[in-house]
Amino acid sequence: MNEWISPEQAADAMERGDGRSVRIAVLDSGIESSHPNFSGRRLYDDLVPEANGNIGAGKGEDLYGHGTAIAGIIWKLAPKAEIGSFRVLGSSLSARTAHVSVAARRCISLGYKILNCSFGCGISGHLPLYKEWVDNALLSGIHVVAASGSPEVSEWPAHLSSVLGVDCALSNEGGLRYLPGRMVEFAAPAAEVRVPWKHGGHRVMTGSSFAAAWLSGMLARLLSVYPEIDPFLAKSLLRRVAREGKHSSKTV
Amino acid sequence: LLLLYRYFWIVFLLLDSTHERPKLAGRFDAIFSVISGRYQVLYGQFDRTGDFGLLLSFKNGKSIRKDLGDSAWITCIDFDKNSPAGRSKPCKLTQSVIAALLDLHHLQCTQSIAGVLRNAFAVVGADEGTIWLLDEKQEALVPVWSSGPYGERFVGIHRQPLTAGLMSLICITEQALCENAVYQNAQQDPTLDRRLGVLTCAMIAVPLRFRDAIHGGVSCVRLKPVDAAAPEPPPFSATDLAVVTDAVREVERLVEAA
Repeated sequence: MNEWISPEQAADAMERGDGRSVRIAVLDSGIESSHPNFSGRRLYDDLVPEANGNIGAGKGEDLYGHGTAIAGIIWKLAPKAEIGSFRVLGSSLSARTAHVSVAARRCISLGYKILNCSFGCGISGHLPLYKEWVDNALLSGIHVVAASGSPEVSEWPAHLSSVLGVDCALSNEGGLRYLPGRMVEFAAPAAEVRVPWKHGGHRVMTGSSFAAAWLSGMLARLLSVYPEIDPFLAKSLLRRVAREGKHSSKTV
Repeated sequence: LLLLYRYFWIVFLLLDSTHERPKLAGRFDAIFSVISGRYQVLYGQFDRTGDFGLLLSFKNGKSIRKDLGDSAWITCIDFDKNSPAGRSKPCKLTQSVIAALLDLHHLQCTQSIAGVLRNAFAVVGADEGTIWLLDEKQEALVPVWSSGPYGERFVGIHRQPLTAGLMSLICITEQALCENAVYQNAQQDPTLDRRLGVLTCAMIAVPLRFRDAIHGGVSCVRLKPVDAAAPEPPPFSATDLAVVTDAVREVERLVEAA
């Protein structure tokens, strides 16, 4: 492995990479696999973890449309990436953290390279539950990308140090931003993005959820060129790429 | 049913000797709630800005008082919509919504939550904003306060299942969102727009977290009349989303400090 990838090389990889062979787990509300935007694609996995540790089939359904939007952004940026759906967001708020933990552990065991978490949990007591699988991901060389729309308010998993926490940039111009001195160190372009939604529809959305998807897509590009970059090296490279403005300001 | 409520209320007032005489300094509002199959009556006082100042609850004939500020106690309610002092707005709320309301209203003596939110809504050019709270079973969102003229027609009446809609989504993800071109989206649930006779053009939705839990969210919208010739308001920007998010964070801080 090339330990000394320069920011220029990383930026170039983020420009020309296509996400090939990078497997991304979308922990979200499910993905509507029959959406017209996804014609010719297939989900690598489509699973619905349960709190008791069992895993059910997702059947290509998305409860809200949010996961479909996330997959749409990732595939637009990294068209060769392999996406798996893990439906952890449903109508049960109380079981969410348990579902996320079950799903994340499964993702790690299945060899996913990126876990996209376009959600946050602000319950302080749930921190150990998030930290457990985030640490396991780190030790397995798996990247966790997580949304956080409130950098000053702690939320998991975005505020864990090995996670690529990302907020929505105020403008789509300029691409990835580095926000020094914060637990959520990045802001990505995610304003007025036209995204696929459930029932074959589309919506024009803005928010940190979509910023996380943008970063996952760009990270997939990077990893498709340099597959052995570990989470901390990726974070360090992304800091420099963003700080030095070397990357493209690719939007979706 | 409303008549039954009213009779029940009057009987309550007659039986409850702990009531003081009303001080009709502000506007009045009422919230009716059915909890565990028993009637519970809650009622409160609007202060001069139209925000709640106080809630009292009566259950099983026993008076429970919760002073939520330095406003005067309320001991009766004016049900007459035609009365200049009165305005009734019956609605069903569950216990957790009431608990969250009590948290919110506790701020009255320090700083008005509504003031913080109204300022933010004005800055982003929203026509109206609403506080939504999760019900007791966390299965639905109930609008409990609105800043604008349409609020009276859905606050306490509308009920948004947690299985659908943008407000539900932000409770599930705990991430703020903004959607533009809302009414052009064929999947948009038009129920509320039809009820209000407007089209929602743009919407910001921000989760509301305090006391270590998600309690619901705050939304604000840009509307246009159903008339197709009406001009389209501009979309919300990412900056607008940040402004409303900051205001909601301020509300959360106020609640935590109360």
